[in-house]
Amino acid sequence: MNDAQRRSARIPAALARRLVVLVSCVIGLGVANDARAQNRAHFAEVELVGPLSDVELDLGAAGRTRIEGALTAGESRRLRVPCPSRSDAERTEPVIHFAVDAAGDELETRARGKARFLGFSGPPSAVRSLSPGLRARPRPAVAEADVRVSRAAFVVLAVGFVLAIAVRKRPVVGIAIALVGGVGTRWLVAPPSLDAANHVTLCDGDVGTNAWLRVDAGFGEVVVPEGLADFELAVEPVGSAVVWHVPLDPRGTRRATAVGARLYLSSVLEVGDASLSRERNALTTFAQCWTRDEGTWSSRGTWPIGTALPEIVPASALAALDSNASAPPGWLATGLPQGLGFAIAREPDRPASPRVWWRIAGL
Amino acid sequence: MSAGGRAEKAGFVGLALVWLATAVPFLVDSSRLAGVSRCALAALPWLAWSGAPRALRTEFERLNALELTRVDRVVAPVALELALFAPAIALGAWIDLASAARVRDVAIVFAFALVASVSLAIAARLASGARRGVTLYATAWFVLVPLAPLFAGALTLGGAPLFGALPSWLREGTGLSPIGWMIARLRFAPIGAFDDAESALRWPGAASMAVIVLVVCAIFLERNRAAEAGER
Repeated sequence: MNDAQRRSARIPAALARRLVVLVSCVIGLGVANDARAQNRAHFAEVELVGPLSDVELDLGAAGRTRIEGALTAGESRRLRVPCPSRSDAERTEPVIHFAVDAAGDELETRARGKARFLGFSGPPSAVRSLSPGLRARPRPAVAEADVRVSRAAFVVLAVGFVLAIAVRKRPVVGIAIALVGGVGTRWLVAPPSLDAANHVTLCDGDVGTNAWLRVDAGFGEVVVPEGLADFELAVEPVGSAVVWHVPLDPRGTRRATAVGARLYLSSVLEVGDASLSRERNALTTFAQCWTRDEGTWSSRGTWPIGTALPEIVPASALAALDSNASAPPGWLATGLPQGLGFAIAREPDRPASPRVWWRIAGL
Repeated sequence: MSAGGRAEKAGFVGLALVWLATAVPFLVDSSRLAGVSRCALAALPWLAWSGAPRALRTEFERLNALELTRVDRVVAPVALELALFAPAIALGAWIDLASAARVRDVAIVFAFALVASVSLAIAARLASGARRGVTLYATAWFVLVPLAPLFAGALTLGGAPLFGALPSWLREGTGLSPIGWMIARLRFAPIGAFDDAESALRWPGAASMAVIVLVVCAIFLERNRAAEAGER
């Protein structure tokens, strides 16, 4: 066999190896990008009898619901909690487990405490009764509270590659490079910075209707507004594992978390008589407001509660105020139906609260 | 260029391609990979590559291999692979931890990626020198490592509209493969959850068994090789 024949004999094996690597990566990315619309808040009833603490309803890959807090001996509670099942068809009974108490004997605690799943409950969320047009409007844009990876990361890895090749005959040095590189890359990663842009609330509605859509959005976490009993949760990327945190204390805050995902909590907002018209703002004070008339967005400045819609702010005055004041943010103003008047407004910022936006059609 | 030099050069090209598949995702904006375990993503190319059969096809290569010490033939190449890929996998693990993934889950994925890849790399090199039985290792590797994920991928990506969800036996089979387990771990999900059929939630016990079988197979072949060398 000559050299050329040997080379050609080696090609299929090398090609097969590379093909396996490539296909594995493609499969991985395909699985990661599976996309289906899902509601991840299916309400279920559970009955808890103390003593027990930190009950967890485990739904496998879909996530889990943690009931935070403890019941002492003799206490019992029946709760309605959200579960992160991926669809109505996947509403299977969760596996329930709970922690031992701090001083307790596990077997004794398990023998005395009891947690029972009573089943999924309730009709479909009232959000489904809202008009399809309203529900189809663009969701809030949530800034990504992403982990920040230094731009030097690839360069550092490339330097490691060159070093490793250079010392390939010295395995001890190679292992040292692996250790130093593994630990050293820690300083290339910074945790996400959480600020107001990571959590946004949008109230979306039509003038003349009573039921509006409220969407609380967050990156990695979304908090359920106080007193809200009926809601839906959507997650991007869909299929992400979601954890619901439900405190046993009724005054506590319910929240949903999902690593590296955006969460959108939708609920119905009853505006009642406190509505909006050009003659009177009966909703709330707006720190900034824009209207769309005949396809053009105009800034109206601040719109206090109880007053009529302010006049259009001249362009010269806008330039002096703020370069971003001439038009509303793109994520709020794009994808809206044409031929319809719109108002977009922002409430004054409050410390430690998400920014609240309003988008009203038909004004 | 000698046959040995050509083989070494071809090996470097393969390693460089696999390293690029590992490192290039770190150039992509983090938001595009939100919700994906970066540790599992970085580990996948090396895991798929490390155990692939490396048969010595010519008599010259076999004779050349017989002259090499075990350090030159096995330890040095595996240490090289470790130096190339461990920092990238560690970087992925740090990103996962900063994304608030559970420490235990990230630690399990990281440890399994390193241990399984190193074990498979050693097994592939031990098996490569044997005259007889290389086909046995190659078959075992193909069945235990890439076969089930390839089937599952073909059905999931292309066949789902026609055939629906994966059959349970194939889902189970995917969990047996180290690559299949790592692909399942691309999504953040708690490891060790109860009563769930999804392989992502299980400890990598079955996948570890596949690695052990391949290592045992390679050790058996290495003994054969030593016996062959004794006969000469």
